[in-house]
Amino acid sequence: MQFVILTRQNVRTFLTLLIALILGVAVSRSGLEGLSEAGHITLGIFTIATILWVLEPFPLYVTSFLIVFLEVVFLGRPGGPLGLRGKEYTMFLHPFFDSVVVLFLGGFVLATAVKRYGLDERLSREILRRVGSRPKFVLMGMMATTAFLSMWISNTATTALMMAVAIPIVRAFPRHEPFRKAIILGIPFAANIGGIGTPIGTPPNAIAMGILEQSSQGFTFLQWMLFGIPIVVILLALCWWILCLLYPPRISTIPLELGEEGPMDHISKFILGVFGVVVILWLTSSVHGIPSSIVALVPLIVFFGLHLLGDDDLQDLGWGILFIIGGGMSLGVAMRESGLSFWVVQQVPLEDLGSLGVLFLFGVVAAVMTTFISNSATANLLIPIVVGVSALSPRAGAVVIALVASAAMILPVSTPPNAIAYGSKQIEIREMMKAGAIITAIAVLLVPIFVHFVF
Amino acid sequence: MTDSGTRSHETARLDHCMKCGATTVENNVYFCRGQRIRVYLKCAKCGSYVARYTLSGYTSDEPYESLLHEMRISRLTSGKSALHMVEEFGEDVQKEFEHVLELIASQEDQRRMEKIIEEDFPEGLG
Repeated sequence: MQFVILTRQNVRTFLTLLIALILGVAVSRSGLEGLSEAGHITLGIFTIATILWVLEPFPLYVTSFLIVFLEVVFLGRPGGPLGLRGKEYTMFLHPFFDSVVVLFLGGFVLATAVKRYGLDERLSREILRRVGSRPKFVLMGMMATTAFLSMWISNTATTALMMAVAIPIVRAFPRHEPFRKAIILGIPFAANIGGIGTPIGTPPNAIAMGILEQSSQGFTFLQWMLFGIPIVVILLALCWWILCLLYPPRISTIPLELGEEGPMDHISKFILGVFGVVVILWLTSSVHGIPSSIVALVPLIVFFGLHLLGDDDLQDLGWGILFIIGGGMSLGVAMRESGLSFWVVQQVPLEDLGSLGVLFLFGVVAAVMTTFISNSATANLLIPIVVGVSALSPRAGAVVIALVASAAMILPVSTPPNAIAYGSKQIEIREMMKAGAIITAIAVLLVPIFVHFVF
Repeated sequence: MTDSGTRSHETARLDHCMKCGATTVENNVYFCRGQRIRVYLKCAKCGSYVARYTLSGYTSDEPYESLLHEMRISRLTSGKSALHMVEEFGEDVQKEFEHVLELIASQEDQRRMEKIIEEDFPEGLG
């Protein structure tokens, strides 16, 4: 096979990388007052990571590897500015198999098994069968199903599943029925919101958990759900209400033709059983003492050990996402060790704003960033900074960024679920912007207030 | 290999029945829970087994629905790449289909399928 190196895309990639490196070097030599040599270098790496995660000249996980490479070469090598010795540089590598990464991996395996044996489809049909045929209830049922599934399965996969259910329904609507837009928008929005509910729901949650754990401020699975689920319920209800207001149904019923469900086979029952046991073990880790990340190994051992999943499934797991999470946490290590996090928050007099004001500020910044760049990149860039802000509890800051990063959903590029829904050609971009902006604004207001009173 | 000894960038061929040489085949699609979908090709002329393909993806003439199916195992993090994928998907499939037909009409590869895979495209088997 001939590899064509000088494609337009590769030239663009090279130029973006070159600009990022030049700016990174310039920043690392800027001589900022009060910032150590290691801090300057880390700021340079942070600049490079920001440019590459925003412009995406290559997949996000490549930037993660580049971060580690730069950290070890310029900061962590023996005798480097951090003064590390021997294999101490591995502190930058450890995040790639951090407990949170293993937890996420276990979640991926559960989700893969559920998908492989069609349990996600079955569950969605079981729920939808119970919602009746009144349009607003059908929308509520679809959004609730989507949100529930996206707590355990990736937001993208959940949206794809539910859109496949929704598309034949909305195509059967009368041509100018406004409620079709409510359904098409409700699914991605519910997937974005649902991901907030569990630590494995979406990468920003894992990034927040991982960076907080580095400073012994982590959450258990249950602790996360205790604040995650109420926020999901509130945002979901408001989202449903707004969509019903914006696109009120003219039709009186929506017939859902979901087909008859056959009996569940033994393998499916077994997978569902393992799923249930794992979730119970996750929720009760403070009782039995086994960390959630170790519980996450159970589905790996059981499903692959019993050949219910195979090598293909292993390759299809979301390794790229795990590396993105690892890269963000590795950047967090460098920012902490070099003193950059501390220096950054010293430069802005945030104390004057009060803790709620600071939470609002970071919420707005996260919402603006994640409207244009990936949620994971936003979390990777902001959470290492916010955990150093003395006016805040690290938990409150990290949670606000993780949650708002998931709840900001204005444009098709804001989240993969939005992109999938937009691709259906059933909605205009301005319609997504209108509904998405309202929900994002509510999240930016609501989440900091909620978090302020919880933490 | 091509005549110059370099590996070709792309090629295409029709499936032929090894028994009678016919190029008309029937696709017999096999679904088994927990396994990849497999397509058994039967010669439409003499009924012999021609080949078996194991699917890693499927795209019908309704590309958006096919994309939804593919995305059910995906874990995208970037809205940009998701949007790019969604916008390009249907168009890419149709364009590539036409390109393959052109390739076969103009320069069909005459080598056996195993040879093409072994010599030029071992990565094609995943």
